[in-house]
Formats: sequence, C-alpha cells, structure tokens
Amino acid sequence: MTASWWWAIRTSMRRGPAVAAFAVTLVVSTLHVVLRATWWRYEWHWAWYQYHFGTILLGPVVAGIAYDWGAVLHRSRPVLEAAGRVWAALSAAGAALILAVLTAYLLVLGGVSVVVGRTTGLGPDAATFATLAPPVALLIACIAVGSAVGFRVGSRGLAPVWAIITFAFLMAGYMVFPARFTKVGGATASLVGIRTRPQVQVGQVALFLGVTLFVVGLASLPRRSNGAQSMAAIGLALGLGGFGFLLAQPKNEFRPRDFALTCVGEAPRICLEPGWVAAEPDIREPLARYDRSLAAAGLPRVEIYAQRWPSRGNERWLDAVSVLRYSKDGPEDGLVVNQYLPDECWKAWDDGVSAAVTTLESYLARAWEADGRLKVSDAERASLQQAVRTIQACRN
Amino acid sequence: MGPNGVGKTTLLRALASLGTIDAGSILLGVEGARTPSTSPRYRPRIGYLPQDPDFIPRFTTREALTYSAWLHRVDDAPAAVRQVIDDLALHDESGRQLRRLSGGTRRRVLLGQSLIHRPDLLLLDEPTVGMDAEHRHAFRRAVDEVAQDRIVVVSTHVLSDLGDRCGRVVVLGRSGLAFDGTVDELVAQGEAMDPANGDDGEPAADRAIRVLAAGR
Repeated sequence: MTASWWWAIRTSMRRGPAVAAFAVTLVVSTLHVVLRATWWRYEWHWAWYQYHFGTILLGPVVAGIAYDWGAVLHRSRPVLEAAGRVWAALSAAGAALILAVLTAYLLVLGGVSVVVGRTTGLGPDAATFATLAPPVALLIACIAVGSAVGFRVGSRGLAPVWAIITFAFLMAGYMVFPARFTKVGGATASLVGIRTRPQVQVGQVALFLGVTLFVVGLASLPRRSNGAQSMAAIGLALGLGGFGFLLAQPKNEFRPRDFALTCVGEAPRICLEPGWVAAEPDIREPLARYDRSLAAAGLPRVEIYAQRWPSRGNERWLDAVSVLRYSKDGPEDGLVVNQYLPDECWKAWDDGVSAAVTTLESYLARAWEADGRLKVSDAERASLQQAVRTIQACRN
Repeated sequence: MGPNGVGKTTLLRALASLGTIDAGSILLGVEGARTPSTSPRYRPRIGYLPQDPDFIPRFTTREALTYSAWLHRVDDAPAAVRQVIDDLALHDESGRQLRRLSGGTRRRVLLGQSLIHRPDLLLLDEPTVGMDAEHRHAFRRAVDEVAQDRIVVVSTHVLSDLGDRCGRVVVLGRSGLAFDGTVDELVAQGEAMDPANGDDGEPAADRAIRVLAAGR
C-alpha cells in the first residue's frame, strides 16, 4: 500500500504549524465579528459578505505562517529534490495549512450563520453561498504563495516581512486598483436589493487560483519536473485570464436584483425584506413616535416606509439600520425631516430651507421627548406647516 | 575522493540528475546503455543523500521514512519502512522526533530516507562530515550493510569513510581524473611516493590522494 496523499497531509498538519494557524484564524475571525456592529444579522448576504472582509487581515497573517512553514521545508529541499517531487511536498504541506485555516474560517462563519438563521428564521440563498468562493480562493493563494516563497527564500526571520508584503499587496488590490481585484467582502451597509456580481467572483477565483498554481509551480523549478512546469503554465494562463476578465467587468461589484418586501402594520406601514421582519417592532417604535409627533402638529404623515430605493408611489425610503442604530439614544430628527427633502433641496439649499429644517427638527426633538403629550399651539402649528411647505417647494 | 572544491558534489548532483550539465552526458545501466541518467525512468533506481542534509525537525523517524516512501511512490510503504529500520538499527529512535536525535543518528535516518525505495545506485555526499568517531563508525557499518546488494558511491575527502566493501576508488584532481583503481593500488602508489617534509606520519593512501589530486 502506498503512503497516500492524505497521510502526507495529515502528518504535515500534525507536525507543521496547522494547529497554530487554526487557532489564529479562529481568534482573528471571531474578533472581526464581535468587535463590529452586528446589524448584518438580519441579512444572510450582508452577513457573509461582511464576514469575508476579515480576509484582508487574515490573509496576510496566514501568509506569514505559511512562509515560516515553507522556510522549515527549505531545510529538506535536497531530500525533496532527490525524489523529484518538490511540488508534491509543497502541495501536501500547503494543503495541511489550508485545511486548518479553512476549517476555522468556516467554523466562525457557521457561528455567524447560526446568528442570522435564528434572527431571521430563513436560510441563505445561492448568491450568498457564492460569496464564499473568492475569500476561500484568496486564503488558499495567501497560504500557497507564502509557503512557496518561504521555501525558496529559506530565511525564517522574514516571515513578518512577508505578512506585511502580502497585506500591502491586498490593500493595493483593494484600494489602488479597481476594488474588484482583491475585494472579496466588506459591506458596511445593508445589501437589501443588491447582490454581488457572479462574474466578478468567477474572475477573482480564477485570478487567485492562477497565482497559486503559478507560484507553487515556479517554486518547484528548476528541477526537471513535468508536473511543476505544467502547474506553472496552467497557473499563468488561469491567472492572466482571470485578471483580464476582471478588467472587462463593470467597476461596481454589485448588481441590482428583484426582491419582494413584506409589509407590516399601519400608521405607518412598514415594508421590509423578509429577514428584517424580525426587527419590525424595534423599527416601528421610533417611527410611530415620529408619526404621532407629525399628527399632533397636523403635518403630512408618512404612510409607508419601505426598504426600497428608488421609492415607489407614496413610499419613503427606510434605512432600517439607521433607525435601529440611532433611535436608541434619542431622536434622529434628520430621519424624518429628510422624508420631506427632495433631492432638489440639497442643490438649492438656502437660508429659507435651512431655517425651515431647523424649525422642524426642533419640534421633532421636543415631541420625541414628550411622546405625544406635547401641546402644540396654533401659532407653532402654522409655523411648522409653513416650514414643510418651504421645504417641499424645492420640488417645484 | 579529492580535496575540497574539486567538484565531487557537483558530480554527484549530476549523477542524481539534480542541476544541469553543461557538457557531456551521464549514462547509467549496463555497458552500451544510451539512456541519460536524467531520464525520469532512472529516478526510482537512484538514491541520493546530499551533503549536510536535513528534514522537517518535528517529524518522527518513522514519519520521515514513511514520508520519503510517499515521495518515492513506494508500493508497500510500511514494509519498506520496517526494512530500513531493521537495516539501519533505528528501532529505538523510530518514535522520536528528528530534532531530539543526535546529529549522527539523524544522518542515519536521512540515509534511510534515501534508501526507502531500494535504489540500485546509492549516492552519498560527504556522509560523515560533522560526526564524532562513534557515530562515524556506526554510519560506516550501516553503509557496509546496505552496500551488500547495491552500488554505493561515496564522495569524501577522508579515506577512512570508505567501508571495507569499497571496490574502486576514483580521485578527482584539479585537471580531471587523477586516479582510478582499487584501494590496494592507491595505497601502493602512496607507499611508492617520497613523503614530503613534515608528513612522515601521513598514511600512504592519504599521501597518494593529496599528491595525485594536486597533479604532481
């Protein structure tokens, strides 16, 4: 019986830095989740895409660990070369690290998914699952390239330097170039109504896997090895293909999508994407307060708040995260005042509009505190209605 | 054999089909063979222990040997590992990590890695450098053991590295092949040479190597 690839990978896991990489991935990924706001818990797509942003830090960290592992393997280089299977040894060593890192990465993602599933009572869609491919390919590339470079260079002390170089490269791909090259996650706002573009994901996966094969193949040369040469050639073709494909894509990595809203209650009616329905009572509470305030002053009330942009008919756009985030600490005046402000007002902002907005905000702040028990005099009522007319005049 | 820098390692690496050859060719096999040693079909027939070798330090002896069996695609890896452990008397060390072994014992494990696929030709490059006398002796015994049923080529500049079974000595000099014959013939040549000033105690064979390699 031949000692199998699986045996080689398992032994590399046990004797290499796989356990450390597993622990580091667990800690980094968990911190990334718990140290940031968790509004994503109402949206599968947002939750996963936000989680994948962690790879911008995790990738360089595991690249540094992989580099060090490659440098350890460097000491065995003559033995591996003598067998003519450098690429096989590098692949098994890399696979051991990849398995450890991906297991930890998916474990934490599983935890995130439990939170989202319990919050929304729903499951992820295919587009959400698709967001997983680029970060997985990116982590594989970071580990494989780190191992290969460490194997070629051989100096263990340079592992932190390689982690920094990897970080710089990822940041360049994220910021300097069009973001789609290494941006595999990172939404800070709700993704209701949009999804990641699958063409970008395909291009990224091709690019990352191409880089992986190319670098591992090169690291295994110049030993005469058809396997290594083929690997490098396939990697080069795949990587260039992915790069070119990404260049041809639109710059926006998101695409609009058709989606249905679930509408709940009256005064106001609140229409939400299904995942957000669980948050409806919390969203309604501040909006209802404003509704009572508007009614007490005889001002036009918002009939429907909807999580849809652009709004339709008499709907007003609902930024659910802002409602939940800011209404806890007090009145978020702009939230309602902005319902009266058409886009034109921002272009024609003058002293009159400014004074009208201040009048409305002042009233809403006081009304919020009184929660419907505020007495509005006729004079103030007239003043508020005039303010609304001033603001809405921008539309004409 | 030959002094440092004469090209022994380069020659052995070329024989092991590592690196590139600028000129000429290397033929392995029966007389009249025309297939260069760089042909992949010869790889399973060659074992190579490089100069100053090392391996992943956390691997145990048994794991290191099994790993080499995997690299060399050995069909029955457990049997091959058992055989090497028996041949090289590594039983007591089989479960110990390489980093816990002495330099000499680790070198025996690495010798085992180069033997795991039972090559017909074993190339050893300065195999005893850095070993103390006891380990050097144990290593020579191990080489004698494995030389029973295969060709072993040992590159060294120390005559005592050659085991009792050494049937042919080639001395490389600065200008090429300086000697090709048996140990006895080498010793005879050394005895026939006048000792130089200050080297009265030098063994005849060592004298012969020094003089021949220098091209005098």
